This record gives sequence, C-alpha cells and structure tokens, in this order.
Amino acid sequence: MLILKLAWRSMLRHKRRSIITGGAVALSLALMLIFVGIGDDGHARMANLGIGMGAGNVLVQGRGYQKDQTLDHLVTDPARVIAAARGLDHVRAVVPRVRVSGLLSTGESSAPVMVSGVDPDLEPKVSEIAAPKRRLQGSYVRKRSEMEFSNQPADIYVGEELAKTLKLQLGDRTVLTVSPVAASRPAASAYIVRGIFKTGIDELDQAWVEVPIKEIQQQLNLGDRVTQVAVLLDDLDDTDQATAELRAALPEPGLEVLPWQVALRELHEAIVLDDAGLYLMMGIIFLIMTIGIFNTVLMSVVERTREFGVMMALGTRKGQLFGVVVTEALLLALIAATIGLGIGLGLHLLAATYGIDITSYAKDYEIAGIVMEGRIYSRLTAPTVLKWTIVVVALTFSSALYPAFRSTRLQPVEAIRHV
Amino acid sequence: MSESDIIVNATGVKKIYRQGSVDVPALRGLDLEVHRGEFAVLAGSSGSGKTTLLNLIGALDRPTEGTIEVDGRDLARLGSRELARMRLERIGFVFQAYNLVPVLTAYENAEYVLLLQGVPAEQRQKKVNDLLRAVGLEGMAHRRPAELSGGQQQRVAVARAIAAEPALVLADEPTANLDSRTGTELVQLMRELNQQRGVTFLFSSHDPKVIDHADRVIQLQDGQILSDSAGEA
Repeated sequence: MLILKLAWRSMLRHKRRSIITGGAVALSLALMLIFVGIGDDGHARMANLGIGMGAGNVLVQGRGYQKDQTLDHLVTDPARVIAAARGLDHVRAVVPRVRVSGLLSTGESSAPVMVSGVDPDLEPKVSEIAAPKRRLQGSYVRKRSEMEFSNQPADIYVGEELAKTLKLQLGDRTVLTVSPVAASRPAASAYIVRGIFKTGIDELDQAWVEVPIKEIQQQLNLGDRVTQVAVLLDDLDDTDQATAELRAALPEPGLEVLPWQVALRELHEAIVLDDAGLYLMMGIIFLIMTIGIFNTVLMSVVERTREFGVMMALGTRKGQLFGVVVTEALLLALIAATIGLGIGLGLHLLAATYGIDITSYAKDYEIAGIVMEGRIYSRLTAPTVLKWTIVVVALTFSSALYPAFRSTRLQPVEAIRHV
Repeated sequence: MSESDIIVNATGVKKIYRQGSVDVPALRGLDLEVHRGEFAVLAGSSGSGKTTLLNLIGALDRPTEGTIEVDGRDLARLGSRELARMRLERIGFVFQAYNLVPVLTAYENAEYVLLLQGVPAEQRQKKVNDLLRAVGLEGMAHRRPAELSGGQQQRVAVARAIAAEPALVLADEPTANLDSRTGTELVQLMRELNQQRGVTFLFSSHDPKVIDHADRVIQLQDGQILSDSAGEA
C-alpha cells in the first residue's frame, strides 16, 4: 500500500511530464490499433477477393497439380471430396472445377487462354469472375439442359480484353482447342460467346474463359474427374481449421488439401510483406516511445537520488525502492493504455462503421494483381486488441526496469549527499 | 556503568576516502562510547569527521578499519538487508535538510517508518498524532513538506526519527539550515524528548548556541577526538 501510494503521488508530482509520456504511450497504442484494424480489414478483403477470383479458401487437388498444373494430377473421385467438404462447419459452398490451358480461335485470330470448367449454377454464387457485378454484357454460361437445342455449341464466358483482342461479340462462334488426356491429338470444340466480364485484373481479363464443366470434361475425356474442388467458407479465419479437418477426412495420398495461403502464394506473401511493413513502422514508433519512457523514468530516478537515500537511511529495502519505481511506470502504462484503448477503439468504431473510400486511389491498393476498390473498414478482434495492449504495457513496464535497478544500486551515504 | 548501558561502542575506527589516486583520511583511529539516554553532540569544524562518524554509527557506511557496535551488534557482521533492518528498528535519523519524502504529508512522513515496520493502523494513528502534538505540529498534519517552513520540516523529521522508538537518534547538523531562533527551538525540542521519553540523541553541530544545550560535548578535529566532556567530568 505504501509503495502504491508513493508511486501514485510520484507520478502526479510532475503532471506535465507524466501527461506527455502517458500521451505518447496512449497515442502509440491508438495508432497501432487503427493501423492494424484497417490493415487487417484491407488484407482480409484482398484475400477474399483473391479467393473469389476463381480460387477458394481451401482447394482439394490431385497431388502435384499445384506444381505442374497438368492433367496428370486429377481428383478422381470428386463426389467423395465434395461430400467430405460439405460435412465441415462454416462451409458456404463446395464447387468442382476443371482448369486447363487452351487456345481460343475465331476465323481471323487466336489467343492462348486459361479455361475454367465450372458448375453454371454454383459458380456465380461464389466467384467474383462469374458474379453479375463483374459482367459487362450478356449472361453467364448455361448447362446443356437449359439450352434451346441439345446439339448447339456450348456457352463460353470471356474477359473484356480477350474479347477485344479476338474482336468477339455476344453470340459469336469461337473454337476452343485443348489437349485431352491420353490422346495424341488436340481436340477442338465450338463455343458461343454468352457473356463478357471485367475484373480489373489484367491476367484474367486478357486470358480467362469459363465454360460449363460437363462440356470441358467431355472434350478432355475426363469423365467425372476434375482438377480441383474449391471450398468456400463463411469467414477467412476459418481457413486453417477447415484445412486441418479436410486433410484428416481425405487422407488419400493422391490428393492435396491446400489453404488459400498456399494456393495463392503470391497474394499471401504480398499480404505478409505489407504486414511486415506496418509492423516495422510501428516497431519504430514503439522504440521511440520506449526510449521516451526510459528517459522520463531515469530522469525521475536521478532527480530523486537524495530522496531515495533518505528512504534507504530510514530502513527502506532495495526491493521496496525497486517496487516504487516500477509501480510508478506500471500505473502510468495502465492509465495511458486505457486512454489509448479508448481512442483506438473509438477510431476503429468510426472506421468500422463508415469506412474509408479508397476508390480514388485504388491503384495504391493493388497487391499481387488484386485491386481494392470501394471502401475499406477496420477489423479488430479481441485477441488482437489484447495482444497490442499487453505489448504497450509490457514495453512501458520494461523501460522502467533499468532505472528501477539503478535506484537499488544507490549507496545511502552517497545518495543523501546528492543535491 | 554496565555493558548494556552502552548504545554505541566504536573502537579504533578509521575511515579513508579515496579521491583519485590520493587517500584522504576522514577518521584516524577513533574510540567512542555513547550511553543510553545521553544527549551528546559531536562538535567540530567542517571536515573534522562529524558526518563521517555519524554515517558509520548509523550503518550508512562501513569503516576502513575498526569495529562499531550499536545496541550490542557489530555492524561489520551485518549484510545490507540486516543493516536496513537495523536502521529501521534501532536507529532514527535527522539530516541537515530535505529530510522528508516530498510527496507525503507531514503525517505520512512521520508514519513512514511505522508503515515499513508493519505497525497496525490504529496503533500508528495514535502514535503519529501523539508525536505531531509533541513536536508542535498538531494542525499541520496534512501539509506537504513544500507547505512547511524549514523548522517545521525538521520537527516532522524528529517526529519520524523517534516514531519507531529507536535505541538511538542520529542528527547530522539538524539546525544548519535554520535561523538561530528556530535552531535553538529544535534542539530544545530534542532535549525535551530526550528527557521525557529517554531517547538517546547523538547529533553534530558547529553552532556554539546549539552545543551549549548538550549534556556531553565530543570535540572532533582532523578525524580524532580532541576532547570529550564526559571524560573530563
């Protein structure tokens, strides 16, 4: 109680100094929270956008497909994989896909493309490419059963830039050439342009086409086999758990279960790098803050040398002196952290409610080809808030350890003489 | 006089300070006995060794040579923790100035040692109020040191020094920063406490008016005892 009283009163002794030091601590925590909140939300949105651009939170593929991207590595029993994935918690959708490279031709020209064979019913619900908001013209591809004539060419959905390159318009006939499994010659099939999309991602808009999965399976002689089963989850944070559960449910050596961080390695690494930049910047701010607190506490200890000498002469033990100094720093840290939390969470609430419009400088928000548009918000979780609050309090506390230790090294007879 | 009457027994005490490569002797083999209940003054000019001797007796510093026993305990045999305990329980201190903890009130300063000793609250309150009354600061209990005059601050320091009922109170030039009248009043107060409560006081001074109040005058010069009125009597 005596230590607490001395620490509290000593902290209040130099009010201005305590306010400035505490203010620096509070501001550092508030900045950290809002930067982390906005950064995490931006990254989550980018990850979700990447996942929506033809990927998934978790991908089940034939082992080796991620490396080779060839039809030598297929999911041979997609029905079993789909059933296992649907059995997980927090699953939004499970979609089978066939991915293969090919050549799209018109009478006049041709272009290399990445073909995505998709389920026409499921894909628009989970894919950013197939979503109506990305559609410039026409409609999405249909199943054969929904077409007027059973023998007419199947639908194809093409990117805006590709359509420009090949001078394609809605209803135009094209020929898609791919290399079927176990065949010596390529197979060509006719497709009619059903719709044109624009994602804003050059690689997709220039070279991506989507066709009904049954059509491409037939063209490639795949039967029911697919190149991937994509699992879309309710929340990005469920990815790790879903991956682990799916790996346990699908132990077959011929399959690989990949979280989006592996499947979209480039995007994930870009996000990690972006995070590293933020932490580096905050690390510098924290370092400056820690030096400031260290300086304040050390100055306070030096100023009180005589006082500490008198206290020691009266029988105060070294441990008690140490306690006074660190308690003073801890009190300052706790008060400042509380204020910092208040400011940080207030700013977070504002950003989480109203968001920040980044449309005008969207190009600045491009990571690994993914362009952010619209508004970004703040996204904070309780563990994140707790973690950074503890970091700030711990830094403040630890910066008082040396000055506190120094106070215990004082010799009473010399300290009393100190002016 | 019996052994148990001796509160301080210093034998062959030397203290040498090292300043750069030069040894500066502050005490040169000094013997001193102080008896319980005495009101003794160490007199002498600046540099005569008064403060050094008080620091050694008060367990704030260690002699280069010789032994010092306080209340029957050889200080050389005590570790820093035990010395702190010794100071807390057996010795009271009054310094020249800036004696008090500035963030505590007069009451809290007087209470400080009792808190360190773990004296129960009710007992503390009774004792501190009694002491503040005894030193004439009854109405100033809640003032901080900055709100008290120099004389009042020294009175609080005296109250604090005797609060734990120590065997010995050491006061290093307690009147040095006070005007003549206030200084005399402070010494008179210490004298009263010595007579009424039987507290042993050993203090230093070079002020003849203060020295006149002492029962025993130990005159120091160049780190040695020049004269001791107890021996002369």
